Amino acid sequence: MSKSRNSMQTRRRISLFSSVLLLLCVAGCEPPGKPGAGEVSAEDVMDFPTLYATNCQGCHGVDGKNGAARILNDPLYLTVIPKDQLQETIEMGRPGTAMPAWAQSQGGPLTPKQVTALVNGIEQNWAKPVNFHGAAVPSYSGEGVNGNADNGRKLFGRDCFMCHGPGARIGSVTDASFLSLVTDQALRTSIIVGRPDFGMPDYRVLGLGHALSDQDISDLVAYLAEKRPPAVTAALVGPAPGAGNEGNKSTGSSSERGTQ
Amino acid sequence: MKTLRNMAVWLDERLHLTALWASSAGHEVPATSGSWWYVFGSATLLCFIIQVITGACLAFVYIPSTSEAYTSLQYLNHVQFWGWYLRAIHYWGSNCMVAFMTCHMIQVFLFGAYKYPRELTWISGLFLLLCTLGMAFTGQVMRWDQDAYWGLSIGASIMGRIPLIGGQLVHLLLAGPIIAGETLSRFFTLHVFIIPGLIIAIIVMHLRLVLAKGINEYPRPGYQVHRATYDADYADIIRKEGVPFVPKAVDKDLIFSAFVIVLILVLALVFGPKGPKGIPDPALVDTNPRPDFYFLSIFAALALLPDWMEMLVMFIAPAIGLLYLLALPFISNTGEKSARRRPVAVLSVILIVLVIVTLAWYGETSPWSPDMVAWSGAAVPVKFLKGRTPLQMHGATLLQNKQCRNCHSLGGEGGERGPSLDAVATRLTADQMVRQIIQGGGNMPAYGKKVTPPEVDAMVSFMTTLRPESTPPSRDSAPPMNKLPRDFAVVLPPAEQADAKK
Amino acid sequence: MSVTDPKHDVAEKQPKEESTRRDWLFLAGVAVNAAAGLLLAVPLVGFVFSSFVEKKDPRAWISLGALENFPEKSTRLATYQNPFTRPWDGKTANIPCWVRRLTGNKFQVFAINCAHLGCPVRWFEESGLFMCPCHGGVYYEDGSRASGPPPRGLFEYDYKVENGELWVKGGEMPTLANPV
Repeated sequence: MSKSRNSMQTRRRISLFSSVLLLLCVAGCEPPGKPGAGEVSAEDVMDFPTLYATNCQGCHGVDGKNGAARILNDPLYLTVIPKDQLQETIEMGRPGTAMPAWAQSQGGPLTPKQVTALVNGIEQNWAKPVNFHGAAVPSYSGEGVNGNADNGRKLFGRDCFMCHGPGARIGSVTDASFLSLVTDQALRTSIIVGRPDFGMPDYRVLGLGHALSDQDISDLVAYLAEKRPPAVTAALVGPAPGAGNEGNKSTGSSSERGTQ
Repeated sequence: MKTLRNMAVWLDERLHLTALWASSAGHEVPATSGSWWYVFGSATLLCFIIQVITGACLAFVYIPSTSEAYTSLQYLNHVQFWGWYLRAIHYWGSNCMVAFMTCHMIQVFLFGAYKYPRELTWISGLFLLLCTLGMAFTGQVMRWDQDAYWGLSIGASIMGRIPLIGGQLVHLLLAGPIIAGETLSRFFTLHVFIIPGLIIAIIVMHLRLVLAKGINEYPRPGYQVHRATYDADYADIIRKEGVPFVPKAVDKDLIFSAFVIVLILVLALVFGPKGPKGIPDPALVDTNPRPDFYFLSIFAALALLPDWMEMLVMFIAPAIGLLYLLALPFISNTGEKSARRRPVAVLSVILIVLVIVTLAWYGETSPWSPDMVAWSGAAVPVKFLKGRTPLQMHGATLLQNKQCRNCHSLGGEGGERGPSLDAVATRLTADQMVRQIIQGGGNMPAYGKKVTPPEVDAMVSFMTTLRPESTPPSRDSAPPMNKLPRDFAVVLPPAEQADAKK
Repeated sequence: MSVTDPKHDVAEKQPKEESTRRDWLFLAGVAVNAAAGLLLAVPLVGFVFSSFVEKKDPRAWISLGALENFPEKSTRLATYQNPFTRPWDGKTANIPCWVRRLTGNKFQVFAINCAHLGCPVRWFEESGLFMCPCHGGVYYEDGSRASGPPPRGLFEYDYKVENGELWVKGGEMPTLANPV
C-alpha cells in the first residue's frame, strides 16, 4: 500500500506544481508561451538595423565597416556623397559592378519607403561633422574637372606606388581584372575616402601628407582609367556586362598571379 | 437512505449499469498488465479527448475561409481571452498524441501483443495511426499561414506524381485545379468531421477488441503462443491472477494521465502555440516552408534521395511498409512474445526510430536548402579581408554578389548545401577553382554565362587566400605540361574547345 | 469473462417459423434500400469526386499587365488573380509567376512552383539562378534544371502578347501530372 501512497504524493506534487504555475499566470506574470506581436512581412520592415542587416551587411560589413565593399559608416564618405546619389545607388545599383539594384521597380526586394528608411538610417547613424583641416572638400563626381592621365601617372608614382605598385604591400590597382570591375566613380570615391577600416588613408593625407586637390584626384582616375582594357571600358559605360572571349586571355594570365 | 438505495436499484434495473460496468471497466485483466509499459494507450486516448474538447472550443472562433482564417487565428492569439492558451494546448496535445501513439505502438510490437488472437486489435490500431497522421496534416492546414499553403503545395505535387490519375487526385485534394477558397473548406471538413468521426468509430472497435480478446499478459520469456492452447492459457491466467481493471490495474494509467495533462499544460504555457507564421499570400515568395515535426522526416527524405529513388520512396515503400504492418500479425501469428527473445524485433525498432529521428533532425536543420539571405546578410569575416589586395577584396564582394554564400559558408555563416569555403585553397588549385566556377559540377550550377573573366579572376584570387596560415595551398600533383599562359580553352566543353582552336 | 464466452450476449431465441412471406418481405426490403441507397450515393460520390468527371480546362487567359513592366533581358515577379476563383478566396487568389523577357515579344513565363515538390522558387538576378527554399532545387535563368532534386526544368506558362499586354494561360497548379 506504500506504493499507492507514493503515487498519491506524486500526484499531489504535480498538482501543486501546476497550481503554482496557474497562480503565476493569474498573478499577471506573462507566460513565456504567450505570442507576442505577429510576424512582420518582409515588405513592412522599416527599422534600419534590420533592413541593413538583411540587405547590406553581406558586402558592406557589420555596422557599415570592415566589409568587402565600400565603407558606409564613414563621416567623410557621407559628407562627400550627395544624399540623392546615395538613394539612387541603392535604388538602381551600379550597372556593371557588384552593386545590385534594390528598388522593386528594378526587380529588387525593397519598397520606395524602405529605400528611404535605409538612406535616412545611414545618414542619421553614421554621418558626423568632418574636420577637413583646411583641405578643400572634393566634389563627389568630379564633373567639369578633366583628368590629365600624364599628370596622374606622376601622382601615382609619388602617392600610390608604395602600397599599390606591382608587388607592393597592399597589391596592385593597375591590374586589368581589378580595373575591369570598378567604375571611374568608384576609383574616385576610393581615392577620396580611402579605407579607414583597413588602414588606407583618405585624400586629406594621400598627397605625401597633404591633401589631394580635385584636379589631382581626377588626374589619378584618368591615369587608372587609361590602364583599363578598352573593351571593358565600353561595357562599364553601357548596360551590358560580359566582355566576350577576347577578355578571357587577360584573365588567364592574371589568374596566374592569383596562385602565387 | 432506503429511498436512495431503491432509486439506485431502479436505475440499475432500467439501465443495466452493473452489467455494463462488469463487462467494461470492471473486466478482469491479468495482474501483470498493471505495468508502466501499459500506460501509453490510455495516454493516447486521453490526448485525443483533450484534442476533441480544445478543438471544439477553437471552432467557436475559427473561421474556415481562406480570406478570414488568418485573421481569426490572430484574434485567437491576441484578443480572445485565453485563446492563445487553447491554441497552444491543442498544438501540444497533438504533438503528445503522436508521441504517445508511437510509444504505444512500439510497446505493443515489442510485447508481441499483435499475435494470436489480437490481430484485429493491431490492424485497427494501424488505421488509428493513419487517421492520426491525417489529423496532423489537416491540422497543419488549419493554421492557414505560408507553411500551410506551401505544405498543401508539396502535398499536391506528391499526388501529381502518381501515374494516370495523378492529375485528378491533385484536383480532388485541392478541391479544384489550384489552392483556393474551397481547399481550406475541404481540409476543415476532414479535420473536424470526417477523420475525427472515423477515429471515434475505430477507437470503439479497438476498445471492444481489447475487451473481447483481453489485454495482453506481460510476456514471459520462453512462453510460446500456440493457436490451439493460447485461449485456455489466457483463461487460466485470468482465473489465477485476474484482477478487475478498475480499480486494481488502473492506478498507473491514472497517474500517467495526470502527468500527461500537466505536461501538455506546461508545454503550452512555456512554448505557446505555433504560428500562424506569415500571411497566406502566395505572392509573398520570401518564405521558407517547413512542415510540423511529424512530417520533417519525410521532408528530409525527399531532399536527400536521388531522383530515381523518389517514386520508390514516395509511393512504393510506404505501400509496402503499410502492407507489411497489416500482414505482421499473420506473418508472425504465434510463438515467442517476449522482447528478450526477439532480438530482430528490438533491433528493427531501434533502427527505424534512429532513421526517423535522424531524418527529422536533418529536416529541422535542412542543410540542403540555400540560405536565401546569406549573400546580402552574412558579412565576410574580417579576418579573411585583412591585408587583402584590392582585387581580392573585390573578389570577396563578388562572392557575396553572385550568391555563392547562399550555398557555401564562410566563418560558419551561410548555406550548407556546398562545402564551406573557409579553407578552399587547401583543397583546390586556382585552375580547379576557375573550372568549378565556370563549369559547375558535383551539385553546383555552372556560372560560365553569368560571370565575366575579370570577375572569375577576382573571386579566384580571393579564394586562393582562404586557408589557415599553417597549411600550404593546394597544388597540382605534377608540374604543368607546358609553361604557356593558362587559357580558358582547357575548361571549355569539347565542342567549344574546337571552336576556340579555330 | 467475455473472453471465455464470446457468444455471451447473443439471444438464443430465434423463432424457427416457416414464413416465406416474411423472408420475402425482408429480402425485398433489403433490395429496395440498396437501390435507394445507390440513388443517394450517385449525387454524393459525384459531388465529392467531381474532379474525375469534369473535363473542362480550368485555365484561362489572364493579363499580367503592360509590356513596359517587363524590361528586356530581365526577370520580374508578376502576380495575377486566379481565374478559378471564389468570392471568399482572399489573398490566396494572388498567384505569382516569374516573367523573363528576352527581347521584343519573346518571353518565358515560369510558374512559381518548383518542379520537384511545388515550393516557391526565388529569383537571383546576380547569379541568374532560381533557388528553391525547400529541398535545394536550383534552375538556370532559362528555367532549365541546374542542380538539386527537381526531375525537370521549371514549368512554363503559355503566353501571348495582345494590346501591349502580356497574357498567360493560368489557373491550374502546375504539377508533374498537370504541367500547365
